[in-house]
Amino acid sequence: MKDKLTYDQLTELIAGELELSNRFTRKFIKQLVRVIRQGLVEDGKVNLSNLGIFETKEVEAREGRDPKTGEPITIPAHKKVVFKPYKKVRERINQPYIELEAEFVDSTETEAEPESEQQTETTAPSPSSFSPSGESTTENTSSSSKRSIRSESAKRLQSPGSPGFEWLKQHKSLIIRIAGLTTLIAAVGYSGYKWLKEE
Amino acid sequence: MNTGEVVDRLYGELDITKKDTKGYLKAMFEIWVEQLESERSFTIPGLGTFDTHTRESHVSYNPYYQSYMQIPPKRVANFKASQDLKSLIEGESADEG
Repeated sequence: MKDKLTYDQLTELIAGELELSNRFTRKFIKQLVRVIRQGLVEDGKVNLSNLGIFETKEVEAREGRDPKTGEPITIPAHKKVVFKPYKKVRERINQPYIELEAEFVDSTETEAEPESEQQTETTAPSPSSFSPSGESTTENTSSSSKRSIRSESAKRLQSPGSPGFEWLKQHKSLIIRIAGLTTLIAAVGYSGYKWLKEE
Repeated sequence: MNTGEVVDRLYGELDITKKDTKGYLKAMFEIWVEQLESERSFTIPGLGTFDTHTRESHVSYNPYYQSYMQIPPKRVANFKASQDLKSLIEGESADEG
């Protein structure tokens, strides 16, 4: 978080924008907060259009540690307030990264997790340096020719303008299973055929 | 409780029309969201602090595809309830149990 807006700054901003007096704005917010608190106590849920949902949530008792002494203590069951912004609001807040999508990673690569963590640390701060084409994953695997071929093909799969490849990518695990099953059936069939011939 | 009920409880108290209340609420939330968009945090007394933070890119297992995936960075809003709202909600649960 870069900046912190004081309550004075916020009310002045709202008063200016809505052409209201500062005093009325404060009164308005105060009353709004009172109503939200009432709603949370009565219904446990307050829906505010154009913003999101405030909700109370039960938290189960769990074991924890006293942060000062390190002694184990039991944190009793309690309620907490959670806020979930509406999808439109979430999308607006995530605007700088909205184009990015999760992408498949070779399971062989994930064994080297600390490596990929390092990589994410360097790429995360600026959205432009995060490469959606998966180029950063190729660099890591160049040592093994087999793996680089895999990521080469993965790269080709990710090339834009090929919806068919997109489908293949999404159903990767399913396709691998079908292929494995087909091979198994073929093998069983062939050995059965051989056995019958011998009989 | 939905927005309609919130408006119903607000406008009488403030001596303004229902329509104005709705308009003010909408415009005010717009400003709140704008602040979060430009990475500014703010605190509403009696309610809590609104903040944003960036979830960094990481590798995570997707059980649906049964595969590891690189999750891209994401900026998310964060709300931390103020101490007196916490005690209000917790006090209520203590009464029940």
